[in-house]
Amino acid sequence: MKNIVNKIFYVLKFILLILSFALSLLIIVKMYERLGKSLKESLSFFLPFLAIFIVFSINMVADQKAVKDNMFFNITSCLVLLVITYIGYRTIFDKNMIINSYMGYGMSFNYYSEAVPSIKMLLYGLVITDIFLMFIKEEKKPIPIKLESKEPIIEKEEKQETVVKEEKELKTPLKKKSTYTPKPSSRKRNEQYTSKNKYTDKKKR
Amino acid sequence: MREFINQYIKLIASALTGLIFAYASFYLILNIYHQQEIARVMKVDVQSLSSYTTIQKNLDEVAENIKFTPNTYKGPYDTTMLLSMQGAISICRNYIMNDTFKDLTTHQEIGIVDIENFRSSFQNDVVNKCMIEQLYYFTSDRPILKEIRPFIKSNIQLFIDSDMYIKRDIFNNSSYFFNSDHTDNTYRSSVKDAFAHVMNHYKSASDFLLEVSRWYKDRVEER
Repeated sequence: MKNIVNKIFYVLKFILLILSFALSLLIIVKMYERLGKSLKESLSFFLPFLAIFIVFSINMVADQKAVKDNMFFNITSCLVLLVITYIGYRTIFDKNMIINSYMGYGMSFNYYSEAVPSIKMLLYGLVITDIFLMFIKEEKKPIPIKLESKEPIIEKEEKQETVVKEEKELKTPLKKKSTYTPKPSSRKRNEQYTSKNKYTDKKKR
Repeated sequence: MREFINQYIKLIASALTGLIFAYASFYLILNIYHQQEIARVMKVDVQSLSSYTTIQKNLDEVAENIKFTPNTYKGPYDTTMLLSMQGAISICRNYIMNDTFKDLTTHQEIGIVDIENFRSSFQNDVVNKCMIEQLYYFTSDRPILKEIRPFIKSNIQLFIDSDMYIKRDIFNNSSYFFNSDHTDNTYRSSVKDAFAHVMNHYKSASDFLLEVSRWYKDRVEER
């Protein structure tokens, strides 16, 4: 269950990253268009997104389990990217912020520019945490030794008794034991001979 | 040593993740709170407000005061000039009771967007189209306008500057402020305050027009 939830957050992380980047790009392009500035000056805003892309792709390519299997980090990444997506959504679609419709902008630039430092801080924080997690060496888990048979306690005690008996027997001089064991069928025949009805006995032969 | 460094790095990473989680949660909750805050509506019946009834009463009196028939006029002033004054006051009266104001009286709930439309209608219709375009005629150098000229000039300037505070307050609603139900009920509610201010400006405009119409009536009745 934990693995499934972790994988869901891991995949959701990438989806939210693309969504948040797309919204931020749209807002920044419109903002700089209104200000008459070139997009080259917006590079400082997109640097944390670039760093996150690089770091996440390294995690994916190198299959770093310290990051992939860290559910807390995946949840935090999803939360951060969700916050950025929500800010972008409000900038464009929340018409209760009056500056949204002022002079036909269609976006609350004031609100987004106030959110930019927090966005940068959260993204850089994620990048630094990811880099720290990359340095964690995975501990090799010991392979569990499988025992061939697990004998119950009662049998052990019996075995111990037989062992003790055998030891006792060994102390006394060895006697030949008769190895003959009568067959069950011969026993039955013997029983038949002892029966009283001679005629049936003969027939049975 | 390696194990110690490994554990140390894990600790730092966990601490950083925790800090980021806490700040992101706080920021998300703050934004959700802010969205709810600016989406607040005010329940009001505009037609039952005393300021609305005063405005209606003033405009009805203005309509009575500017009744002028040039055929029966026997006063000292030029009828063309009196007719143009009558037209200006009548147009101004229609701009005060504009479509936005009439539409607002049908609303049972008013939000910040309605308040902004109300405020911008005051700016565009009442101040620009009524006072500057129509009533500024009354500030020209004619002997008949000698008494009313300073009154109209000073009031028009006041009306031009009146909505700067409201406009700034409404436009800055994208910035955060921590408001609670207590402060909302006691001393600060952006929707209620802005609505009350704009309504007050409309009432002041109707009072001003009433004074101008009474002056006009006195000129018409002058023999």
